[in-house]
Amino acid sequence: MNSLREDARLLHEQVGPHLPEDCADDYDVDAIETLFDSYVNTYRVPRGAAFDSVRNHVLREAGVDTDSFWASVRDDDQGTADDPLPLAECIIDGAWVTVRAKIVELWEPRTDSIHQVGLIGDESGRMKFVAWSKSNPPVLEEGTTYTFKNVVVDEYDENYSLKINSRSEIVEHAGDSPEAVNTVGTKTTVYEGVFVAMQSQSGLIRRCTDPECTRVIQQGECSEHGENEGKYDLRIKGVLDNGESVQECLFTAGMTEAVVGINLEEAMQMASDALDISVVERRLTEQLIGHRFTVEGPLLGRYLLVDEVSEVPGRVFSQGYQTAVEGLLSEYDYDGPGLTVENIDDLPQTYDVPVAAGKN
Amino acid sequence: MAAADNTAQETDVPSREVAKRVFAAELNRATYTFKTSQDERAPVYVALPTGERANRICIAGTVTEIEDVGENAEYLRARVVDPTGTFWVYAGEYQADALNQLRKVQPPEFVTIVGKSRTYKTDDGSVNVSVVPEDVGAVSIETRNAWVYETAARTLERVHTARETSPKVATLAREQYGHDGSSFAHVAAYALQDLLEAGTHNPVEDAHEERLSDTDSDIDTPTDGTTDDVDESEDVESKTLSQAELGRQLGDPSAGNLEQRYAHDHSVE
Repeated sequence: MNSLREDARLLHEQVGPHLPEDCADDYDVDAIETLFDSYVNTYRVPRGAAFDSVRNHVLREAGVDTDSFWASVRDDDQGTADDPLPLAECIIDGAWVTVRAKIVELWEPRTDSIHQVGLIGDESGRMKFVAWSKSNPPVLEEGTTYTFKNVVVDEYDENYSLKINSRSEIVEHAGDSPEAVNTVGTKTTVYEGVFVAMQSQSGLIRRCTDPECTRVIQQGECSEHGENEGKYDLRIKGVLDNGESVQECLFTAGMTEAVVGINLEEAMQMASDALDISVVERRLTEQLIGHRFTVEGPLLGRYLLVDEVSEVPGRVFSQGYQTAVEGLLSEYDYDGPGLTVENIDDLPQTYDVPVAAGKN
Repeated sequence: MAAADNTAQETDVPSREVAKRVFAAELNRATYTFKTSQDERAPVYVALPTGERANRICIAGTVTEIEDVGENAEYLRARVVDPTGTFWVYAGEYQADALNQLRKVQPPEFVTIVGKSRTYKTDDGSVNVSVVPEDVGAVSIETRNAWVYETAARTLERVHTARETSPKVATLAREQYGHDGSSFAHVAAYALQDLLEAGTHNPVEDAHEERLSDTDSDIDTPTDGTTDDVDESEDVESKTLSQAELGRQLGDPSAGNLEQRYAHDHSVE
């Protein structure tokens, strides 16, 4: 455990830069040590609690703005203006962070209390941001890069966003400056598995024709906008499974074409030839079930929105069957008896006897 | 990007059962079923002899014959053969999708089947295991081979870790079956050995008679363009693999390197 002197030095390091000049001398290391001594030895405050108590005492007596003090303390681990935190790492609810990102999109705020809302992005990914009207933030422009100091990470349902508050500081960067974000990345997930199920509302679907609405309509009716001809679209909602987990995946019309070679026009032709819209879904199911895919894309709730897909049935064998098999057997130190198909039915049954040499 | 703001998602969607990879030799021995809740609609699990539970399964193999065994309505029975044995797959009117898909299969053909295992008692009191398919898809030999490899990997994994990762089912399986299922590691190794032989594109003479007709599909499949990811040269390489080499890899004592093997064994005892 630290001596009181060490604790005092640590605390001085933390609060020193925030002390107003006129009382900096009142709270040097010696003075803080005396305070510690009084808390711990005279008033019998436990050491851990004393650290917090002495710190709060000093901040209060010296008139330090505690909010900005805490913001800057957190700043140390959560990115700085010189070394901003990548958006992909903004995953601690309530953390104060400093990031540098480009405004990718601005959305229409739903209420007056929101000044601006939209999507920002850096090389590592994208994130929603919200600037509240009451914090008087500057007007941000699409396509411009800013450094956002002291913004707060907010988590809802495993989706993270950044809140700009009254303590946030926003610095604009010129488009040709070294700080400007050029390529916005996407936080993507890669999943490899067997296509094990097609979900309903896959294949050829009809979407509501209302330009603000993309709902799938059923029996010619949108749940929001009523009776409706609908506009045709092609998509796959399916499940990949790797034997340990499942991943629901959404393939847009473009991705559907990439994976099964059928585009929207062909799908509509198939449906009109058969006088049945569901032939498309059956055809897609037939082509996909049991096949092995690697998909990549951002996660939207339960779904992985596929923007890259490849079918690589024999990828484990890229170095040859023999290498793959040898690798697997040596991974388990397998050194058992050779079997033939005739004696599989008369397997030597064991009870708590390790089968492989080396481990069990 | 209208979808970016849809933070509210259904949260209490029941999670889908993962499809366990299991060889025919093991599935056909998985005769003990159980539920984890009294609920009538609760999923039924089989206790795999290797110590994990399975509700949904994913199997692959060669369909060697399909027969309509229904008395009134159509009821298809398919024999699906993997390197270790035969899956018996039954589809009737309640498996409409799978029934349609099975009708189009022309034996012999490679398929992947996603479905559930079902057990039933025969008149003589023994328990038979069959598969109720949800979906059936025709696949290439590469996809089938990848399944064999993956299933061998999962089987070996279960043999080695089920005791820690699913202790309850592992204990249950040991009680029910009277052994710890570790012998299925040999089954996995056998399937892998078969994979090396299959990689040669030669007829496998000493295997199941059902598998003799596979060779046509072996030759046809790589030419369909979309599945041509396996380098042809690998096949040539496998072809030159001697039986002794195979045996060595698989630890067959009759295939040479006896001293090394026994030295290894001894060091562990």
